[in-house]
Amino acid sequence: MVKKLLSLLSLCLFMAGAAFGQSGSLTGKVTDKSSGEALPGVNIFIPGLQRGAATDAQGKYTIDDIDYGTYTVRATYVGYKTYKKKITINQQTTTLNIQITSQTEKLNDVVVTAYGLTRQERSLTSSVQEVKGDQLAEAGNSDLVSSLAGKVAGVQIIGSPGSAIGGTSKIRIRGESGLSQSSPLIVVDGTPISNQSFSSQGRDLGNLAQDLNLDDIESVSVLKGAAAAAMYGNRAAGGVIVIKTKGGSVGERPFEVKYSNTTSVSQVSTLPNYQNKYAGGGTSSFIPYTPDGQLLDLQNGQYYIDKTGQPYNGQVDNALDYATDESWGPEMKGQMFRPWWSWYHADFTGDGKDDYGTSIPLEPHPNNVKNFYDNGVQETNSISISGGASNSSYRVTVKDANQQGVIPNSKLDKWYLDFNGSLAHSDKLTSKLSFNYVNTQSQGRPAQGYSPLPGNPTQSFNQWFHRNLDMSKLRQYQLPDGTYDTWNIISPSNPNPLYWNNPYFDVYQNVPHEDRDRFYGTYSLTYELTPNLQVAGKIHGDVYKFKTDDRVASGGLNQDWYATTNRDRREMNYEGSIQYQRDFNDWSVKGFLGGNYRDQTYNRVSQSTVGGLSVPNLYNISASSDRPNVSGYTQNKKVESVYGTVNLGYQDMVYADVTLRNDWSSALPQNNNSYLYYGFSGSFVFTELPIFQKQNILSFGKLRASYSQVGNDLSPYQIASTYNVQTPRGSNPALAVPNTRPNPNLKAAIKTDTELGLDLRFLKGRFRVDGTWYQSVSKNEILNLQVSPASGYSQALINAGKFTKKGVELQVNGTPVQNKDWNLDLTLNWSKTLSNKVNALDPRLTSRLLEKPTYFIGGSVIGLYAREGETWGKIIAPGYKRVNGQPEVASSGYFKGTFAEDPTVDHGTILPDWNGGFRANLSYKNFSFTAFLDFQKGGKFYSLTKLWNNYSGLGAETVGSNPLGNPIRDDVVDANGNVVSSVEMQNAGSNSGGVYVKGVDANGNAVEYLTNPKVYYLAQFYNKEQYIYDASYIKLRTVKLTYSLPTSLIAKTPLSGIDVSLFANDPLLIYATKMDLDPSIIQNHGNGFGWWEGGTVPGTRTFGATVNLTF
Amino acid sequence: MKNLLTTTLAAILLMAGCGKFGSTNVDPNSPSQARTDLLMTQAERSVGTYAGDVDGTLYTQYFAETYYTDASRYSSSHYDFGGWYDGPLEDLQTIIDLNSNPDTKSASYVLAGGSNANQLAVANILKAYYFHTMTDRWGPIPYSEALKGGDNYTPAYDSQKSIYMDLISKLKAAVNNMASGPGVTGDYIFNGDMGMWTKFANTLRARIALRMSEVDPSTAETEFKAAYNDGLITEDVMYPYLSDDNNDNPWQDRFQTRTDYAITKFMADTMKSLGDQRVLKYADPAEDLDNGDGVTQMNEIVGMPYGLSKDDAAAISYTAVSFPGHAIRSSTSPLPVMTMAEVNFMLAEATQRGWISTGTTAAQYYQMGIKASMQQWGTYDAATFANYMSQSEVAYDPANWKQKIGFQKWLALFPQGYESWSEWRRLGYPVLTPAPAGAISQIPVRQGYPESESELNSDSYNKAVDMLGGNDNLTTNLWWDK
Repeated sequence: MVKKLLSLLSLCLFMAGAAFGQSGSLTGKVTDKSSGEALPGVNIFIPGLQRGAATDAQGKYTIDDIDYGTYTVRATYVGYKTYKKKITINQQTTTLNIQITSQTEKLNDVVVTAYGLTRQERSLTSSVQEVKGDQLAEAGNSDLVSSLAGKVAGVQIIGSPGSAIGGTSKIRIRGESGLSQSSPLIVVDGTPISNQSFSSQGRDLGNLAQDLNLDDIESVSVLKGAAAAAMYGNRAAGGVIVIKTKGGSVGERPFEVKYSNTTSVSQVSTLPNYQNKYAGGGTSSFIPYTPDGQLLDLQNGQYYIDKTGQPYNGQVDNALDYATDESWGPEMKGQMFRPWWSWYHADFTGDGKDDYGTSIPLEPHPNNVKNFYDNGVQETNSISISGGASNSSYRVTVKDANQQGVIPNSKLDKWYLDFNGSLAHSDKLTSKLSFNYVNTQSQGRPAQGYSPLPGNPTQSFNQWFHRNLDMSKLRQYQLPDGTYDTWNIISPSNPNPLYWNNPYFDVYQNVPHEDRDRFYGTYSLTYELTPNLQVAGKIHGDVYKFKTDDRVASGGLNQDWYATTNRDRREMNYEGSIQYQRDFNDWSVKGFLGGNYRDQTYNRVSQSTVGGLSVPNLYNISASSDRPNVSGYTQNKKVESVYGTVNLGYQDMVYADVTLRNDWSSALPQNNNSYLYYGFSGSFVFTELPIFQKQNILSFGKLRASYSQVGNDLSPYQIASTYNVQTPRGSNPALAVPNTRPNPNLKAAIKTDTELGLDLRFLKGRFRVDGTWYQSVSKNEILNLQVSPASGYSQALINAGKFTKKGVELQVNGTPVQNKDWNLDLTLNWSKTLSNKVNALDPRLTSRLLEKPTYFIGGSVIGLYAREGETWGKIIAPGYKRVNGQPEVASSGYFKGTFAEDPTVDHGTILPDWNGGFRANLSYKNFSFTAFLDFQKGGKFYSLTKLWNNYSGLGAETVGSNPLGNPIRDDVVDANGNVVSSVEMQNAGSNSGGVYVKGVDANGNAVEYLTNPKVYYLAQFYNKEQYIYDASYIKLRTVKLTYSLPTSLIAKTPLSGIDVSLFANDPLLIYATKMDLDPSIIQNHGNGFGWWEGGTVPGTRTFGATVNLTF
Repeated sequence: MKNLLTTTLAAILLMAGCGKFGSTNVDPNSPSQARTDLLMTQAERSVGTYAGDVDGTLYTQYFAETYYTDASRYSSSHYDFGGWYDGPLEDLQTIIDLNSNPDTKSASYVLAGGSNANQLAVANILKAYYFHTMTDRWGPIPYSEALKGGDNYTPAYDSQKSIYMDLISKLKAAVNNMASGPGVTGDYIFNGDMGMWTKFANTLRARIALRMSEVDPSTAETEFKAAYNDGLITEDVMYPYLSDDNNDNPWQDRFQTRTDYAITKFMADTMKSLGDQRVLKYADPAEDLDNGDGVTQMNEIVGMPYGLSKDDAAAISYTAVSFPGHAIRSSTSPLPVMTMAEVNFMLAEATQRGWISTGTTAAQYYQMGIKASMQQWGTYDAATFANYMSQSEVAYDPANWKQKIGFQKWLALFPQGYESWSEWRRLGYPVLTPAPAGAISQIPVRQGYPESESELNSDSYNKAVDMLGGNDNLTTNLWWDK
C-alpha cells in the first residue's frame, strides 16, 4: 500500500521541473471583441511557466522575467471564451493585444469537487451536478435537503409536512438499495457534518443538515456516483453533497453590508376530505338521558331510569355517544341535542352562565379541523458583512430565523453566527478559518404517528374524531376549578376523557422543548512550496449538544410524565495533504495526496419518570413516583485514511482520473480493518476535434466514463457479544441477551459504480443536454439481517447480498428567449430507475423485512421487503382476493382479503419509476419571475390516515349515495324491509342504504352488494390493498417574482442595491392520486424509508416577501 | 523545502499507516460477560407476561371486548411467537450454555447464579414451562433445532407429540440432576427454593401428562402417576407484581386510560345464578349500577355479551357493564400461575379415570378444588360453600364428570386465559357459544404462526403446515385435541 502511494507521489514529483536563461517581458491590452471595451481583471497565464498576471482597470497587463522561448499564452475571463495563442519571447518587450469573445453560456463553469478541489466543468469525468446558493434559498427555504427537491437529476426528496416545523427531509440519491438506508455524506468547506435525524415520542426533531444557513451557501455540488465520491471514503457510499460557503474576496470592496428580511405566512394546505353530514358516535341515533345525566331506557313507549328501573316522565335530552371516538352518529339536521360541554359546569357560550344542561342544534362544522390550525408566521433577519484587503478577506453573517408553526403553541427559533476569513501571511503561507455556530430552540413540535404518548391532535382529527365538534368550544380546555375538559367523555355522568384529551390541552399543556447548540468549522494552513506544489494542514470540527424533553401534563388522560435526553457528539478530522498542479503546453497534471484521522464520539443520557409525577406538573426527573428509567450510552469510533488522485488533461480535450483510497476503521475486526478501493474515469471533449470547428451548432460535446468503488463500514461495538442491561425488577438487576447476533468476522462492504455520460451544448451553450447512465453494484453489505426468531435472535449481523441498480439521468437547459430586455431560462431534471434488483441475499434467506409501520394492531400486517431475485423495496401485505382477476366479494358483502391464506401479496416497489423537476425563469428588465415544480411518477406508499379516516366514518368516502339513490349510511334493508348488514343488490329494498360493492363470487360470477358502511370499512381495514396508493405527483414548489431597483434610482443613497421579492412556497399540489393526500410529504418520523404515513400533520403553503439591501 | 515536503509526507504516512486502535471498539455500555443470576431474573419476567395475557381470556370467554371487538371476533389469525424465543428462551439457553461449557462453567459470573447443577435444573424447568405454553397455542413449533443462534437460522418445527415427550423427559432430568446445597439466585418467584422448583416441575409434568388424556391415555396415565408420586405443589404459585410501574400488573396498565374489557355476560350470569361469591372478585360493579359503598354486590355486576360486532357493541355503554375486578387489576395484584385448585381438579380427574387411587374420591378432590379456589380468592366460608355445593349444577356427578370438572376448572382457572382455553379444548366444557359476529364460525382451537415465518423460514414453515394437515389457521385441532 505504502509502496503504491510512494510511486504515485514520485510521479507527481517527476513532473515538476524548472527552466532558466535570458528573459524578457510580455505586455498588452485586453478588449472585448465586439464592443472594443477594455476589460479589467482578465487572467493572463502562461501554463508553461505557471505564472501570470491580471489586467488593470485599463485592461493592461505585464508579465516580467520570461525566459526566452516559445509559450502558449492563455487569457481567461468569466463569461468569455478562453483565448489561447502561441508566442515566442525573444526580445526585451513583446506586445500581445488580445481580443476576447463573450459567450452566453458559461462553458467554463468551475465546479467544486472532492476536497474542495475546484475543476473546470469541462474536465469532469463523472456526474457532478451543481446548484447555486441563490436557487436554494429562494422563497424563504431554510432546509438544505428539502430545497434540493427537483433540482438535481437522480435525487429524490421525501419531505415532511410544513406543520412539523423542521421535520426530517430524507434524500435518496439514485434511489435506495441494499438493506440499510443510505444517506449521503454532507461536507461543508471540507468539514463532514452530521445529518442524523432524531425523533422523540413520535415527534420528528428533524435532520441535522437543517443547521446549515442557506444564505451562506455559494454552491452545492451533488456527487452521485462512486467515481466522484470515492475520495471521501467509507461514508460516501450514498453519495456526497459538497457545500461551498460564501466568503469575502481578496482585494474586493473592503466593506460591504447586506441585509435581508423575509417575512412569510403559512397556512394548512392539505387535509383529508371529511364528511360533513353525520355526527360523532358509534350509533346513528341519539341516546336518551335525563337532564342531569342519568341513562334512560325506553320500553314500550315508557322511559325508565336505567340504573334504578324507576319509570321516568320528565324532560328527555338527546345525548351523543361521546365515548366512541368515531363519526357514525346521527345525521346532522339541526336537531336539538346536548353537546359534550353541556355536561360540564362552566360557561362555554360567554353569557356568564353555567352551560350545564344546554341543548343546541346538531349542525355540521365543515371547517372545524382547519380552524384548529393557526396561521404560521416566519420572520428571518440576516445581516452579512464582507470585505477584503490585499492579503485578507472575511465574511460574517448573523441571522435570526423565528417560526411560529401552524399548530398552536409550536415554534422554532434559530440563531446563526457564521464567519469565513482568510489571511495571506506571506506570498506562500495562507490561513483560512471558517466558524459556524447555530442555536436551535423549539417548543411544541407536534407528535406524529399512531399513538404518541403526548397526544397528536392531527391524528385524532383524521382518525378518531367527531365531525360535529365546534373548535371554538374546545378552545376552552380548562374548567374554572382548574381541571380539564374534553369532547371524548366517558358518559354524561362521568365526563372524564376516555381516549382523547381536548386537543388544546395537548398543545398547551403537553409541551415539549428542544435546545441544540451546534458548532462546525475548519482551520487550514496552506503553504505554497512552489507555484505548482502546495501542502496543507486542516482541522475540521463538528460538535453539537442537544437537549430534548417531553411532557405529559398532570390532570389529563394519561399518567403525568417527564422525559429528557441529552445528546452530545463531536467529530474531529485532522487532515494533511499535498497538491500538485501544472499545465504544460498540451498537458495538464493535477495530483493530490492526503491523509485523514477521524475521531468521533457520541454520548446520550436518557431519563424518564415512572409511575407518574410525585408533584403535579413538576417536570424534573426527581419527581418520578417510581424508580425512574435512566440509561446512558457512549460511543467512540476512529478511522484513518490515506487517499490520492491524479488528473491528467491533454489539449483540453481528453482527461483521465485515477483515485485510490485506503481506510482503517476501528469498528471492524482488528485483524481485518483495512480496506482499499479505487476509481478510474476519463472524458473526451470531442468538439475539440478539428471536424467540429467549422460548425456553430454543437458548441461543446463530451463523453465521459468511469468505473470506481467505494467502501463502507459500520457503527462500533457490533463485532463482539455483549449483554443488554434491563430495568431492574425490584432489587434484582437484570440482563438480557440482545436480539441481534454480533459477528466477529465482518469485513468492509464495497460498492462498485459504472457510469457513462454525454454532455452536449448547442448554439454557444444556449441549449444543453447532459445524460448519464449508471450501474451500481453493492456486495457484501453489512446487514442486520432479519432471521427467524426461533434461532434465539431476530436479527443477525452479516456480510451478505448483492444488489444492482441501473438508471439514467438527464438534465436539459435552454434559453429560448434572450435579448436586451427579455430572458427565458428553462431547466429540466429527470431521472429514471431502469432496474433495482436484489440479486442475492444470504444463502440462508430469500427475503428480508426492511421496515414495518409502527401502529398498534396485530393480526394483519404490512411490511417493506427486499426479496431475492426481485425489485428492491416491495410492499408486501394482504390484498384483495381475486377470481379471474376480479375482486371476490364475500357473502357478507365486502371484498374478500387474502390475509388468512396469503398475507404476502406483492403490491409493488416504493421507488418511483421516474422523477424530476422543471424550472422556468423569465426576466424582463429588472423583473424576474421564477416558477419551479417537481414531479414523480410511480412508486407506492401506504396511508394509515386514509384507512382510519374511513374506518372511523370521518372521510368523505363514507357518505354519499348508492346506485339506488339512497344515502349509503341509511340502513341496509332487504326486500322484506328487514335491517341487515349486507344484501345482494337484487334482493335489496328500494329504500336500502349501504355501500355499493361490485365484484365476483368464488365461482367468478358477477355479484353486487349493498353493505353497511361501518361493516364494509372495518373489513377494508384488514385488506391493506385499498390504502396502498400510487405516489405519483406534480407539485408546484415555488413561485417568485423579484424586482431589482434600477441603480439610477438609488444612486444618491448609501445603498448599492435593493431588490424585493414576493413568493409562494408549496402553493399547489397539481396532481396526486388522492388530491387530499400529498405523497411528497409522507415522512412522519425521523427514520425509516419514507413509504408510509399515518398520524401525519398537514402540509402547509407559505406566502411571503423578501427585501434585500446591499450597502 | 525538500525537508518540509518529506516531513509532511512522512507525517501523513505515519499517521494513517497503522490501523491500530487498541480498545476503541470495546463496548463501554454493555457487559461482555453475563452474570447468570441477572439473566435468570430477566427470564422469569415472561411468566408474568403470560399470566396477564389477554387473548386466551377472550377465547375462553372470561372477558369480552367492550367496543373494539376484533380479537373477540377471531379477526386475527396469526400470532407472533418471536418474543418468546429471542426473549426468555434465549436468556435461559444462555444460562444453560454458560453452565455447560467447560470454559465458562466455573467462572465467577456463572457461579454467581448458584451451582451449575441447580442453574441447569431451573433453566430447563422454565424452558419447558414456556415451550409447553407455546406448543399449546401453535402446535408444532421450532423446538429441537431452535435457539442455536448462527448455527441455524431456519430451525425445523417439531411435532407436538415429540415436544410433549421431550418436555416430560427434560422435566424429569432437571429434577433428578439437582444438587443439594444452596439454590439458584436471581430467582424471585421461588427465591431459590429448590424444593418448590421440584414441585413446580412435577406439577407441570402432571399438567402435560393430563393434556394427553384423549390422544395417548396410557402414556398420560403413566406420566401422571409418576409426577404425582414425585410430589405436586402444596400451595398456590402466584406471579408477584410490584407497585413499580415497570414491574406491575399488566391489567392495571390496560385499564389506566382505557376500558377495553368487561367480564362476559355468560360468566357473570352463570356465577350470579349459582350465587358464586368469586364473581365479586372477578368483576367490579358496573358504573351505572354502582351504589358507591365501595363493596361489590351481585346486583351491581352486569356482563358484556361476547363477540358482538362493533356496531352492536357500540350500543352498550361502558358505564353499563362490569370491568374485571380490582382483585386482578390493581398494580400489585398477583396473578395465578399454577394453583391448588387446579391440582385438585387434576387429581379428581385422574381418580375418576382410575389412574391413581389415593383413598380420596374424585368427588372429594372435586370439592377440594372448588374450596381451594374460593380460598384463593378469599370468598370461602363454610356455610356458603355448603350451600353452593348443594346445587345440582355444582354437585359432582361421576356420569358427567367431564362437564362438572370442565366447568368448575374453567371457573377456577380464571384469569389464566390460555390454560383455561387448553382445558376447554381438551374437555369440551363449559359449552361456550362462538362469537355471533365472528370472522369464523367456531371458537379458535389454535393460533396461526407469525407471518414472518413464511418469509424468513419458509421451508420449515411449509413442513409445519403439512404437519398440521395443510392449514395454518385458527380451526385446525392440535395433536392432543381430539
